[in-house]
Amino acid sequence: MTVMATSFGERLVNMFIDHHDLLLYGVRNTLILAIFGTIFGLLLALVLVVFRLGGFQVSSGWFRHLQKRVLKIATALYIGFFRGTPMMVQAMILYYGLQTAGVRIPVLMAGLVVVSLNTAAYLTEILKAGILSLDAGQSEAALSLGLTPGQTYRRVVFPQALRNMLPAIGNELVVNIKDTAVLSVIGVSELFFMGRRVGSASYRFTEAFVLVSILYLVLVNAAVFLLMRLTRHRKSSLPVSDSGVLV
Amino acid sequence: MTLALINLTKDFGEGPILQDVSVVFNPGEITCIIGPSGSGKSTLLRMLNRLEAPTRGHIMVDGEPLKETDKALQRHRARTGMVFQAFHLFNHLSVLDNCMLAPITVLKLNKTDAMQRAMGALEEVDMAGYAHRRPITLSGGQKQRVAIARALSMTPQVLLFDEPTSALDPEMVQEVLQAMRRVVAKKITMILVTHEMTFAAEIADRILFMDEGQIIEDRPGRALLDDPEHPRTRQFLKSWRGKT
Repeated sequence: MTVMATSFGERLVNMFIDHHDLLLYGVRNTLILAIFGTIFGLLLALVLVVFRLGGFQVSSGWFRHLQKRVLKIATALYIGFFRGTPMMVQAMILYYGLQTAGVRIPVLMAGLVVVSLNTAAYLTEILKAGILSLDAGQSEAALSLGLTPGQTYRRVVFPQALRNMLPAIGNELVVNIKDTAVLSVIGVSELFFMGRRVGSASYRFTEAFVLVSILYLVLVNAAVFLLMRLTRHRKSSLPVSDSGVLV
Repeated sequence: MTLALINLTKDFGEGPILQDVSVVFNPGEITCIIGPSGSGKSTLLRMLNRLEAPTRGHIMVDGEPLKETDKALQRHRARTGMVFQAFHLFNHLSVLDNCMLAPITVLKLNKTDAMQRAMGALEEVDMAGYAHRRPITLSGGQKQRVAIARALSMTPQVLLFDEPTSALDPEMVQEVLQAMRRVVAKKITMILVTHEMTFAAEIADRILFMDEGQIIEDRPGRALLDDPEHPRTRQFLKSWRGKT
């Protein structure tokens, strides 16, 4: 091996050829964390935002009232915690907390839980803004037709709010691709973690992390490109549900 | 269905909007409610399908107080249609889907039946040709006619109209009134808050005049317009009389 004579560029290429299995495994896990973390986070946010907004006033009664208040405060505390502390710290708490409690789950799963919980906190606030920007008459009209609050959210409020929020949700995905790097702290073998492994195996950390950053750039820009295609597509040809195609 | 409000007061925290109101709406009757802005007309209407909760007093349906459970309220609302001043069509759905949503999700009709019903309702308001359009491409008058069809597709026993023509250009008012005349012919109980006095005189079995959260005058037919008894009613009608 003529290591001394190679240029920086050649060393990058060689490193990728030698360690592509490790690096691509990191890419795979980063994508799993970012994509499923965003999806699960969104699903959780759809529930939390109802609590956060206190739902619709349908029937009254002190129990309902108390229930709503408790859920509203609990959700506010949840969002405050997850937006107010670094994800790295949240990962540590969850990981060691589970260990102390004697619960053993795969580390990738633990990472996914952290990303999902974290994403849910941000998306709840984004969704809340999206819902509040909708005309209150939309939900009133739905309720006046006899729809339940749940049906009103599912059929009328969420479809319209999500349409407006699509760029913001896409942005969360992009942020998650990059921010999942902090999960290396609990040993999740995502891209950053694998980069460090490649670096220490070859004693060439600069090359390893330049390679890692190129892979991040590819992932992020691919995501941005796909999201732009998706949102443009929705605007032009899928704006409306018609003739009984109620999703 | 007989709807009644008994000693009903509504206070949003800045003085009562409705003050100890008691009124009965009989089945098949067409009632128009007139009065100045802020007199509580819309709030009274919104009480009748319990979009607003009373501060005190009762909403009665067929002689029984309306139960404060989700189920009872949804059942009541499904039978009590409402048409809003600002239409409130579902903007993410086509005209047809606007009319199919509630029959499918609330009445659990299958798609074929729901579509048949929705098309029937759209035909009644002359909007069947627009079934696959998006609401935002319609004029105000067309939107309001779709909103009427959306309410009709639930085959309600009572229809509430909250100033349905107030947000429209004068030339669109007539097409909406025409659609409402067809509803009148269906003998559905109608309660209509309106500033269209001439239309009220034409269709009403009974006209109420409200001011400052109270029903000031309640007269059968068009008697209230022709021969108002209360000085406040007379004063209110002066401006309308001046025009006719």
